[in-house]
Amino acid sequence: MIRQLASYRLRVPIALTLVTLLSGVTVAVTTFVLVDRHVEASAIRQTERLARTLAGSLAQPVLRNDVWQAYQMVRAPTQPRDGEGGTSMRIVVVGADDRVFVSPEPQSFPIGMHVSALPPRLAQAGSSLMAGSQGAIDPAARPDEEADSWVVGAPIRTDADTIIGMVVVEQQRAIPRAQARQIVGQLAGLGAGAIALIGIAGWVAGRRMTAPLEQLREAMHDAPETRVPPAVDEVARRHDEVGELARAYRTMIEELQAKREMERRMLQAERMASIGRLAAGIAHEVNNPLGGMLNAIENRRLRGGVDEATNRTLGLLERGIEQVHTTVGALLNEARREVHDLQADDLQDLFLLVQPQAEQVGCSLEWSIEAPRGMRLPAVGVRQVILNLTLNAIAAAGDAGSVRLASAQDADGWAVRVSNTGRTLSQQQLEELLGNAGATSSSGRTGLGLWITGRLLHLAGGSLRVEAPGGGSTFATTIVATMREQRG
Amino acid sequence: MVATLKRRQLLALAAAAIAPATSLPAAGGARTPRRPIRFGLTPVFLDDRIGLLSRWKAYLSDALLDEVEFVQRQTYAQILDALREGQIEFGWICGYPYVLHEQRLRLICVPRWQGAPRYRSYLIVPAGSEAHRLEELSGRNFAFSDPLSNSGFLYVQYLLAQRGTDAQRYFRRSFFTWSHRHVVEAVAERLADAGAVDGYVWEAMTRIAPQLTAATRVIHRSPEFGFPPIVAGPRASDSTIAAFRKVLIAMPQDPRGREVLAELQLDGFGEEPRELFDSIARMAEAVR
Repeated sequence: MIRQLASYRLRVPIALTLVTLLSGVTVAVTTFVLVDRHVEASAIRQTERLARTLAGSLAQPVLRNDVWQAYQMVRAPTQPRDGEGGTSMRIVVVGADDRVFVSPEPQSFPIGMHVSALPPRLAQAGSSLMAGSQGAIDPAARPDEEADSWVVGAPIRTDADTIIGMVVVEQQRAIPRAQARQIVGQLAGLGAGAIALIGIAGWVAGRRMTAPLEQLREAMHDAPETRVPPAVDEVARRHDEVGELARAYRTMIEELQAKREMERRMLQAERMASIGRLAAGIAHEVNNPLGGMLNAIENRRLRGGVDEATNRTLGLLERGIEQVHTTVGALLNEARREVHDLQADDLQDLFLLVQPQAEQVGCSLEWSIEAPRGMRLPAVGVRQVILNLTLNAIAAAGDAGSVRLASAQDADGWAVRVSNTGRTLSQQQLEELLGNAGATSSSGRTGLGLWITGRLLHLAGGSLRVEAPGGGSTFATTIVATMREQRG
Repeated sequence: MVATLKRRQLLALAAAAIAPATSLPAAGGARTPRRPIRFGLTPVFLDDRIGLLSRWKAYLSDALLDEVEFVQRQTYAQILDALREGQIEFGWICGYPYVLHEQRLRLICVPRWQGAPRYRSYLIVPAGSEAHRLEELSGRNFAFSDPLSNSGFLYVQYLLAQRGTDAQRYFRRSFFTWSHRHVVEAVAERLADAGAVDGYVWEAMTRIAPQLTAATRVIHRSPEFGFPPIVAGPRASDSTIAAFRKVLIAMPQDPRGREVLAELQLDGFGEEPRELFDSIARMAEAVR
């Protein structure tokens, strides 16, 4: 909950709602209190003035015991105006004998009624001042918070400043307390309704204000680090601060991506360099004895006396060693000096090389490759590619498996299809094997062969792909190596 | 009510302002405007109807070929004093002050009401009151009209005197409203538990202010007394008296006079013997 409250999407609407509520309540309360106080104060002053005025003009009638005149005086201000109904004021004139001299309500306060029979508050105002000294008696308003009225008593003085009676005025509150409470209740109800509406509006406004922020937050939260999600682009189109934030975030992600890509490339280049150094060392070590072998074969030929079978064997050996020499030379990243175009002989040699392998494993080998026509392809590279692919396929097919090689030529280039039964190799696995030299395949064989194949093919301008197993085909995997003529 | 009071006070003030100026003797041979005939009114009738008063005054002025001015005061006593001191020539007063000051006043004529120059005093209580007799009003608040009113004061005084008491002792508190109409009002609004009122005024009010009389109930009607008479003070000349009497008595013969009489709810004015007021004089004697 605390964590939720800390969230802007809640804090902003809550703050807006609270501010609305607080200002609404403050304004309402202040207005009510001010109006109430002001109205009440002025009403009390008016009542005091009325009591004093009445006390002044009642002196003569009271002195002369003229009940009727006094009655007419006190009746006037209490008479209901224009059918307003009941009056809100009560007046009682108390004589020096502590009895009612006159009242506009003779039925409630008949003439001669003792002051003690009056309602307590009227009785207090009517008699207590009478009992006091005749000097400093001033009318005093006595507002009672609980009562619905206030009572003002004013002494009636003769010219000789003798108090001969009291005027007691009770003024009803314009709004009785009970009614005031009811009004406050209704106001509170209506106000609560209004404030609730405003509050909801505030909440909605707050939510709207935080919505882009929330959208951005969610986009950032769910986003992979590698790309900028479309949601961020959407927010970035805004013209406000949130939009700016989104743009900054996008820029940051893009820079991060560029950095990652650079790091990846550097890592690959480093790996390639180390493999290159290793391969160069191996190549050097291998090429030296191979040179000796080739020299030995050459010497044997120069000595003569070689029969036909031996000569073929020597030729085979010589081409094989040449092949190894060239292949190893490829590892040295050196420009190959000896380049000859692929001939049918080269392909025949390949068959002779892989045939024993297949027999050894117990796998059937179908060989239907024709040399490319009208195309110049580097013999060594292509031989190596096909060799590698075929050896791999034989290994994958295993005992009682079958491997088939077929060639096809079109405008795009010369393609060799190597299919095998057994395990299935997906394009992704192929790419992994091509990309990660030294990666270990599930069979435990390192993928260096395929990697070299990849590189050779790359040099030969070719490509490698896995053909999806076709319907009805018995082969699990078909790898297609396509080679194109290198121009220039 | 306030308006009425103010109006009457204004009239009184106006009269008081004019009085000293007009009572000055004409001096220096300069031609001074002729002094109007001044006619003092008391609340023996419903004297607060300005329209009626102006029409009556217009009729009298035209009939007398002389300016007539109505003078109204707060109390019967003030009118009576004005009469006796010669500030006014004529006055419509109650039979009680007439018999009290008979030697200085001359009877002009007496109004006729419901075929006779007589009226009664009514004792009234609020409509909802349980009292039905004067005896049940002991210890209650009582409203009199004027201390110089027969129907509104003397008669009750007389009744109480016969019972060996007086208003001070018999009632808890009694007060004067200075007019019959106000007695009805005070009783109707229950300011007083009962009141004494001129029967003619009460009956007239049943037409003019029925809501007030409906709020009261008559519990006692007195024997008949001489109707409040129109009298002349010592200042009035014989010729003026004769003319004034003639004009009043002739009112039923004149359309405007009849109109005024109808508004007053009177039949007319007639010469009556002084003995009409003997019963009042006897009561006045009894309470003295």
